[in-house]
Amino acid sequence: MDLDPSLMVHAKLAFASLCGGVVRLLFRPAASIWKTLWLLFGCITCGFYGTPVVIKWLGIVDPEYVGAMGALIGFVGLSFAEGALRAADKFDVSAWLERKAG
Amino acid sequence: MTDIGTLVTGLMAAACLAWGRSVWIARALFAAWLVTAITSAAGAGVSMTVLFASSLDLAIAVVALVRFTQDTAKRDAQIVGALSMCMMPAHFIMAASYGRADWTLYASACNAIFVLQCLTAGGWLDGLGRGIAGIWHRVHPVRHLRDGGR
Repeated sequence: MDLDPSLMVHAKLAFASLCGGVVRLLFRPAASIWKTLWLLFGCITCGFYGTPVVIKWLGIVDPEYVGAMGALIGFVGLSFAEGALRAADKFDVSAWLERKAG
Repeated sequence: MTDIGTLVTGLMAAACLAWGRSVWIARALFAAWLVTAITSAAGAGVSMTVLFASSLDLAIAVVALVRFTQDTAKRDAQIVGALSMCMMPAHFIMAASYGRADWTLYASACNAIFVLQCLTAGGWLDGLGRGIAGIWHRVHPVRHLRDGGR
């Protein structure tokens, strides 16, 4: 059975991101099953769309590293997103505007 | 002729299912062993075996993740899931080398991790730890506790 190579690359990336997400959630579990499912979906999305960008930035050309990078981004991607959201929550826009204006 | 690895892991999975503590994890481990044994008996090639092994390890990890999410006190589910995920690099190496990596080492690692998972899900590893801690507390009783921490 011959599968489309580009499809296999994408499937490998999604599988690696899912693995990274499972590892993350095993060490930092979510509060409920639904939150777990959403976080896993988020991990796959982070890995799937983030990996090609990171690979381009870092200049990685070897396709063997794509899976490993996908797993790593699936593993740490949500933590970065969580940190960014917390920073955005803490950020006081009105105080910043007043500081800029004054 | 029955493969010795399949026999040992099958006995462990059956014992875990019959007398084990974690019911859902034991069911997942036994189902994974059954699928692997059928695949092996059907004479599947290396590529198919690695695909099945990695998918089953992920399935076990997902079942363990669900149990651990429902109750974070279930450390055995967390350990079983983490052990399954520990096997992923081995599956990836086997797949990336197109099955040319050391098959005996790979199969032995898979079987060893599976036995360890059965011991954890059965509660026997925990029992062994408590037994060793009991011996230690007999020699060095915990102060201020009437039973010495036993």
